[in-house]
Amino acid sequence: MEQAENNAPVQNGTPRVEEEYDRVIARYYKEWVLYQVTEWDDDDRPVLGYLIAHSPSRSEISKALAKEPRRKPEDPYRPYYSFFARPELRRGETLEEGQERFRKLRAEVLAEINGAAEG
Amino acid sequence: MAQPRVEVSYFLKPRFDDVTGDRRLLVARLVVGLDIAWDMLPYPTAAQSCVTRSAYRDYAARYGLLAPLPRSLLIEDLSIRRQPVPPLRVVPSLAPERLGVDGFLGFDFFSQFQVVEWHPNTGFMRLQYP
Repeated sequence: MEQAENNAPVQNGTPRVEEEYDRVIARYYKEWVLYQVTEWDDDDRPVLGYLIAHSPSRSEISKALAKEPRRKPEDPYRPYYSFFARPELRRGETLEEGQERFRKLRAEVLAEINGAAEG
Repeated sequence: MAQPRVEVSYFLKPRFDDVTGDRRLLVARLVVGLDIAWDMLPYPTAAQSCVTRSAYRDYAARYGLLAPLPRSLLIEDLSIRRQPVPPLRVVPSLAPERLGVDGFLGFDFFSQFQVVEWHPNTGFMRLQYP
């Protein structure tokens, strides 16, 4: 895989941009996602990472993973995480609080997508 | 000198469905080697741990295993919350994908520990080695 000058991996000629884990879940809700985690919180929850692929089909995630380079021991801890995008409660958060947080974020993300499509 | 292994502790991650509010999926994030992380559903009443067929093939491909693949694979270099856990033999299965996870941790996983402690209200799990 190519590397951009800022060390971000490159996908289709464009440097990958780190995206928040929660926003990725909100945008691709109920799809399979391949996400390279670059930052974890103290609770071992992903915070930031690169979105590599998303699809309703799990097998498409495997195809995307197969194109990613194997990581070496000297590389930073950045595993490729495959998951089905459903919101994740934070520790100590009630279901109602989690739903509220998720709905706000999903509304924001959908508004951005719609704005971009109209613009 | 290496310290003896005592326990593995972590919080299960509750994933929920926004519409139904179901929070029945509590997963452990299992990291495999340097490359892969999977959502695994603790399922201690299932005899055998399993992963999706895609995850099975992903592991084989990343570790250079050639087809035809064996009926089970011993997955090594595992960790949960950066704490090493013992190798795990898995079979491929259709069931995990239906639940939106990459695998189930079965009885064979939990039986490697002397005590498995689970706090359902917080999702805390502690696995104590013999």
